[in-house]
Amino acid sequence: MAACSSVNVDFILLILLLVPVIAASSVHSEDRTISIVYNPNCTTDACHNTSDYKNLVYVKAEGTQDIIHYLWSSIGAPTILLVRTSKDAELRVNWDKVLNSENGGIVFVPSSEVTYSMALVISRLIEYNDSNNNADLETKNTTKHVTLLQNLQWQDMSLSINETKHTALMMTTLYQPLLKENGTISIQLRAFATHDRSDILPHLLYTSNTTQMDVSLNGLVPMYKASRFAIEMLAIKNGHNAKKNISIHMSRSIDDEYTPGMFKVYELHLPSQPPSHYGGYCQWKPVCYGNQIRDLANALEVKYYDEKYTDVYIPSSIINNYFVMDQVDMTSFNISFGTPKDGFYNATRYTGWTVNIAYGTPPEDQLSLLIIIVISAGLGLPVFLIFVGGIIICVRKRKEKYKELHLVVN
Amino acid sequence: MASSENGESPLIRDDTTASRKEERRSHRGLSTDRESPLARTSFSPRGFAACDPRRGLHRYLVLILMCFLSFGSYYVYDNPAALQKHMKDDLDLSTSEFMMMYSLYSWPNVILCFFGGFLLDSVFGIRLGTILFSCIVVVGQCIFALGASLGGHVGYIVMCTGRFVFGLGGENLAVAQNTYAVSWFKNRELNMVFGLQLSFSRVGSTVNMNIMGPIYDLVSNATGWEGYRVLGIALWVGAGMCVLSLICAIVLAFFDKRASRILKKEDSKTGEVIALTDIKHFPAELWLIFFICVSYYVTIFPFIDLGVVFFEEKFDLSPNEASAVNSLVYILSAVASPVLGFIVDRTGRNVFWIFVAVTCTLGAHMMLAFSFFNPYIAMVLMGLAYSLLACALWPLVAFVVPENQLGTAYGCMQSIQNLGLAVIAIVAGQMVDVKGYLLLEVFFLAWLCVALICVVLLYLIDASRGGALNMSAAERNKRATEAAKVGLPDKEPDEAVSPLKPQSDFHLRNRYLSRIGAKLPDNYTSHLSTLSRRGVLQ
Repeated sequence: MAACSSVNVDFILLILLLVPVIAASSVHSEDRTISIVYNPNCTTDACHNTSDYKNLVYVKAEGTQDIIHYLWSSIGAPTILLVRTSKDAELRVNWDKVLNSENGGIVFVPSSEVTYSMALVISRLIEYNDSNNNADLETKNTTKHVTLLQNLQWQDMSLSINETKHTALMMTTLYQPLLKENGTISIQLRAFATHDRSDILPHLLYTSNTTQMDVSLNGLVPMYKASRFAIEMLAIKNGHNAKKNISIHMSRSIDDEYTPGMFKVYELHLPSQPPSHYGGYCQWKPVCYGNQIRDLANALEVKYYDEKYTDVYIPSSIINNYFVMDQVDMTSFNISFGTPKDGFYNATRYTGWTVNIAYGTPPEDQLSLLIIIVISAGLGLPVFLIFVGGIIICVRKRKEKYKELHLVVN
Repeated sequence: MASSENGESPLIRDDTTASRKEERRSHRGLSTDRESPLARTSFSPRGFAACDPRRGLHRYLVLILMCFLSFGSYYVYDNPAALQKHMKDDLDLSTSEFMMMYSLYSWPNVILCFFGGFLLDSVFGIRLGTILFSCIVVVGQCIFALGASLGGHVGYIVMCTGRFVFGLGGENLAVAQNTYAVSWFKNRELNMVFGLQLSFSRVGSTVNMNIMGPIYDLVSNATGWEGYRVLGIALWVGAGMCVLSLICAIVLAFFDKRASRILKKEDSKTGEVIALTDIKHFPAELWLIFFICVSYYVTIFPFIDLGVVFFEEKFDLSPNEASAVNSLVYILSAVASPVLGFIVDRTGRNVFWIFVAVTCTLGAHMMLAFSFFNPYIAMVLMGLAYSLLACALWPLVAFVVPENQLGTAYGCMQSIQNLGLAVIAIVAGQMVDVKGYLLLEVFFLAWLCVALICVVLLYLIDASRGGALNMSAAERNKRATEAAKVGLPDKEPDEAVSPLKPQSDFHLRNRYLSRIGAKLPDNYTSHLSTLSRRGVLQ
C-alpha cells in the first residue's frame, strides 16, 4: 500500500532534519564590563582643534580572563583596532607620535601581555560608472572616482558617545567641489558586553568580543549617470605566519529567518599565531539597504572582490602607530553595493551596510525553535496518521476478507 | 443496506418496469446512461461518427469547443501583465494602481464563484449560464479596452470597472467549464479532460504573454499612434478572443441540447433544484476535497509569486535563470497535465494519485527549503505533482455529488480556493519580509501536511464507504458492466449523493441478496459491521 511505504521516507527525512539541529551547539562568550574613554590622556592642542577633530575612542571590554581593547579612530582613515591582552595590560598613547603617524604611538604595556591584535581600516571610497548596469566594479573600462578617506575631516565623536549603549558615531561631510549638495559618510560603532543578535537587519549575531560597524553613505551626489559605490578595506593582524594566513570564507545556510532573502555569510579570518587557535574575524552578510528603514524591499546586493596580499595600499591610520609593518599579515579587498537594475545609487541616495569585527570563533545561525516545532509537528502528525490509518485499513481488509469467506460458507 | 423504496425485484421485472426504469433514470440526467448497453441498442447511430453524441469522435470535437470556452478569459486575464510596462507608461499608473486591476478580479471572486455555481445549477442551467458568463466576459473586456482608449484618469476608472465586470464572468466560466466536462466525460476520460483544460488555460496565458507585446508594437507601427490609443486597440484584440469563446459557448450549448435530445437526457435543471441550504448536506468527502484543494494550492501559487528572489539569492541564479526556474511549474503543467490525466484515466485510483502528488510536492518543497540541490529538479517535480493533482482532484467532485449540484460544488471549491490564495498570498508576503524564506517554506510544508492528512482521511472515509474514489479503472469498468448485467439501477434515492459508489464485490452481492429477500446474517448489516467479530454476533 502506498500509505505504508511512505512512512519510512517521511520518518527518515524527519530524523535527517533534526539531527543537525540537535548536534549544533551554541557559541557562548562571557559577559564583559565596558568602559569608554575619548582621546585618552590627550593634553596636546591638536585634541581641541575644532576644525579638524582627532578622534580616538578607547573602548575597554573587561572579562574575567582577559581584556579586549578597541580603538575607534578617525585619525587618518577610519580604523577599528582590536587588541586582546591579559588583565594586567594597559594602553599608552603617545599623542605626539600619533599625530605624526610615528610607530610606537599606541602601545600596550607590558607588551608581553598582548596575545592578539588586528585592525580593519576603510581606506578608500570608490564611485564608479556602471554603464552596463551589472553592479560589477571590475567591469573593464569602468570610469572610477576614488576618495581617500584619510583626507576627510571628521566631526567630533565625543558628543556621540553613549556610555550605556557603548556606541559612538564617526561622521564626515563629503564636500564635492563641483556640486552644490553635500552628502555624509557615517560609521556607527558599537561594542557589546553580552552575546545576542543585533536588533536591526541584517540581525548579525554578536558576542561580547565584538565591535559592530554600520557604514552608511547618505545623500552623496552621484558624479555619473550610473553611479554606484564601493569601498576598499584593509585588514591587518599582528604576527607573520605563512601557514595560517588571512583568508575569506563564504558559507551558505538554508536559514534566512534572521535576514530574509539572504542565505550567505562572509567571514574574513585573521587567525592568531599558535598557541592560541582563536583569532579575529570580520563577519558580514552580502546585503546592504537602500533606505534607512531596513527591510527586504530595500535590500541590495553586496559584492565581494578577491582580496589581494601584495601591493596593499596602506593609508595613514593608527595602524601605523601600533603595528610594526614587517611583522604583520595584511590584505586589502573591495566590496561594492548595489543590485543590477536597482536604479543605481541615485534611486535612493542611501546605502547602509553592517560588519562585525570580533575576536573568537565566528557565531553561526541556528534554526529557531519556532521552525523546529512547526517541522516536527507538521511532519510528525501525518506520519502518525498514516501509520494509524494503515493499521486500520489493514485490519479492515482482513475483516472484509473474513466476512466474504463467511458469506460463501453460509 | 436499506431496502429500496420501490421494492420491485429485478429478477421478476417485465419489459414495462424495465422501460419505466429507463425513463426514470434518464430523468435524473445520469450521464452513465449513455454508456449502458440498453441505451446503446435503443438508438441506432445516425449520420457520421463525428455527429453522433454517443461516439468518441463527437465528444472530442466537443472537447475542443470546451477548451476554447475559457481560452478567451485566460487570455485577457493576464493582459495587464503582458502589457505591464506600456500600461504603466501610457496611463501613468503606479504599481499599486496597476495591481488594483488584479485585485478587482480576485477579491470579488472569493464569493462570486460560489453564487455563480449555484445560479448555474438552480436558475440558468449549464447552457444558458455558460453563454451568459461568456457574454459578461466579453462585455467586461470591451469596457476594459474602451477605458484604455479613453486614456487618463477617467479611462483608468473605466478600465477598473471593466476588470470587475470581467471578474463577474471569468471564474464562473471556469466553473461552467468544469460542469460541462463532467456532463460529457464522466466515466470516460474525465481526468484527461481536466488535465487538458488546465493545459489550455496555461496556453491561453502563455499566448497572451508572448503576443500582446508584439501586437502593441504592430499597432503602433501601423497607425503611427502612441500611448493609450495603441493600448486600447491592443486590448480590443483581447475582446476578439473573448468573442471567440462566446461563439464556442453558443455552439457548445447547441451540441449539448442536441445530445440530450438524441440521448433523451433531460436538463439537470428540470430535475431536483438545489437550494443553498443543500451545502450543509455536502458529503464529508467533498469538504475534504475542498480542504485538499485549498491547502495544496496555497503552497504553489503564493510560492511562485515570491519565487524569483528566492532562486536568485539561495541558488545564485541570474534573474533570467531564476524566472525560468520559477515558471517551470506553469510550463510543465501545460505539457504534462493531459498526459498525466490520461494515466489517471487508465489506472483509476485517484486518491492514490493525489497522495503521490502531495507527497512529491512535499518532497520538492523540502528540497528547496533544506538543501542546495539544483532547484530545477525540485521545480520539475513540483510541476509534475501539481499537474497530477489537478488531473486527479477536480474530477473527484463529480463522484461525490449528484449532477444537479455540480455547479454549486465546483463554484464552492473555486471560491474556497480563491479565498485561500488571496489570504495566504498576503500572509506569505509578510512572512518573507519579516521571517524569511525558510519560515515561508516551513509554512508551506505545514500546509502540505494538512493536505496529506486530508488525503489520508479521504482515503479512510472513502474506504469505509466502499472505496469508490480510489477504485482502479478496471474495477470501475467491472462495476459498470456488472451493475448493468444484474440490472440494478445504478442510483437509488437513498444514495443519490453518490451515483458512482460501487461497493466491494461483497457489498454488491449483499445488497442484491437483501433485495431478493434473502435472509442475511446479522453481522452483514453495515451499521453493525464494526461489531462483527467471530463469536460476538453469531
